[in-house]
Amino acid sequence: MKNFIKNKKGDEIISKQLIFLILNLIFLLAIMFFIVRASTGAAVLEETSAKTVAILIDSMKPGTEANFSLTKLYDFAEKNRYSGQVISIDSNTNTIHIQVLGSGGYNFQFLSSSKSFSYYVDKSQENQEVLVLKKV
Amino acid sequence: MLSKKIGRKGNLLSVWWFLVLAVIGAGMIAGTSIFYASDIDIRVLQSEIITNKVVDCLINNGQVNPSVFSEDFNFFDTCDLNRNLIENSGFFYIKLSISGVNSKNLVFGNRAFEEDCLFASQLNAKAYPLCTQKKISSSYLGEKVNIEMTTGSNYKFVKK
Repeated sequence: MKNFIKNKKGDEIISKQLIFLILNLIFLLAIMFFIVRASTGAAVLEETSAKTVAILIDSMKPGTEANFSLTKLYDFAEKNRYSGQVISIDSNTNTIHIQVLGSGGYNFQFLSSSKSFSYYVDKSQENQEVLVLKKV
Repeated sequence: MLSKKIGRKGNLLSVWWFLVLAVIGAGMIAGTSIFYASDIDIRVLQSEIITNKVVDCLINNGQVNPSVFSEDFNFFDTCDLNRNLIENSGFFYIKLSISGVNSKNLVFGNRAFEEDCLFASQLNAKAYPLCTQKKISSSYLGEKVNIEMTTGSNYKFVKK
């Protein structure tokens, strides 16, 4: 049986095919890793969160309250050792600022008057941060 | 003879294969980077939100709000809109025409959007604003009133 496999030309082809397959696999895994990193990066997270909060503020009817989970943002900030303010709303310029890394951040302006709503970040529950918006 | 054939045609690990992989990898990385670097477009949502806010503030229970026709009607405060952002940023446009027993025309924001909205509705033009048009029939003092609205948004983001 051993002599059946050894010293055959198929021996060389199998090792080359194996190396070829392994290198292909490494290449595919590297590409997938890059795509996953790009899709869950800080820039995408900051932009989607800022725009979601802006849409939420503008869509709310008077007398309503809305909650928006910030846990993902805070977890990302903690993982990247950013201890600054993750979310801030400037009532003078009607701007939402979201930042999860030491530099950069994303600003987005909302359409509603800043006097028509109030907000605070609820950290009362463990490992859960929630942005509470109240429309006056 | 067989081994020679295998040596010429069966070389899987050639330099050309690595080159092809590099080109494919570079293409995928470039495509992914361009995709995720581009803006998430919510302009249609914004123009619809403006339309809905204006409709909500103009019409109560199927009747046009009487304060709309008064001289001191404060559009932005009544409809809960940021005057500075809509009038001065150049990214928004609101056109309101009320006709019927009483009429009123209001235009705010970037007037150039009036034509741009027309182009954008007929062509696939990314740099042009995205607009919403709405026609509503309501009543005022028992008489029919027609309201036509055009709102447009070309807002991207504010750089830090």
